[in-house]
Amino acid sequence: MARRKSQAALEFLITYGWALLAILITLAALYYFGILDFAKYLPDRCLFTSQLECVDFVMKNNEIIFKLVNNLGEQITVQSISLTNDATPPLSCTPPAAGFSWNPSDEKDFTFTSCSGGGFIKNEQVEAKVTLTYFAPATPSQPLHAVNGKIQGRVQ
Amino acid sequence: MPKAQAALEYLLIIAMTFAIIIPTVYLFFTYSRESNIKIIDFQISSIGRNIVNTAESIYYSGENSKTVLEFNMPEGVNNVLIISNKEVVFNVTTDFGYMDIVFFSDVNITSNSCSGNICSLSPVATQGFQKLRVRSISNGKQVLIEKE
Repeated sequence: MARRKSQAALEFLITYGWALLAILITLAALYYFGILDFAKYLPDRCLFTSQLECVDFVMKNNEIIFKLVNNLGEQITVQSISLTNDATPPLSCTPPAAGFSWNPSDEKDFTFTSCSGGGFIKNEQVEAKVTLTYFAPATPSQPLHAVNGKIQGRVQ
Repeated sequence: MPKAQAALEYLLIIAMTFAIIIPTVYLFFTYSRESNIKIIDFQISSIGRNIVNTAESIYYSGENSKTVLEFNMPEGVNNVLIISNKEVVFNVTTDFGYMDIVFFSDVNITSNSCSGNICSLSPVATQGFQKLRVRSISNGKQVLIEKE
């Protein structure tokens, strides 16, 4: 009697085990082909702090261009600007020249060229993390400050 | 046969429900996380501007003038510093990483915990309700900002 019960239990597990395996393989395939990557359904956006507000951006022809406005109320000098993401290999671009002065309320275009890696492919959704360091020339010790931002959009 | 049909319909309904719920939950959490970053940014901007504007107002009001600022410090603030008697710097950690939110004062500001040209306001860097006393010192030539 007990043997018949255990056989039934084993058969049950084997039957549903196959079903579970089939579901897992299907899910893995969907994930592999990017169907479960819901991030690509998010709208394009450019997020920075309100002090260096992002006005507009575009990703096209191996370039990432974004426009920031200086809302700090003070003239600053941009020391460095870099861009990357969490992909393997990460997004890599040639940064624009730094070391320029930036007056309050002025808008600046930042153009990163020769972008590669990090999933930077035409018609694909890409996320880029931007780090900008600056100092205020009017402050005697001129301490460096870092600001981070994020750009997410589709490569045109 | 009707049992099998019922089971299949049940599975289809469950699958459709998950297909709707999982992306919706993901999108909702992504939006709420980014909204949270924006809210923290605006809260710190409001506090920083308030500190700087009040310091300038106290400075121009002259010697012995003082006031108390009350505000709610948001999460993620690691430290608050006054650098070179000019910059009020909030060291903040967000999902974007570690960064500075800086406010520039036109008047000479300080705190009562200074080392070199860096003065600390770390007691107010903890999340929650905070009070800052802002008062004119040094014959009206400097504004002291300290925890109430």
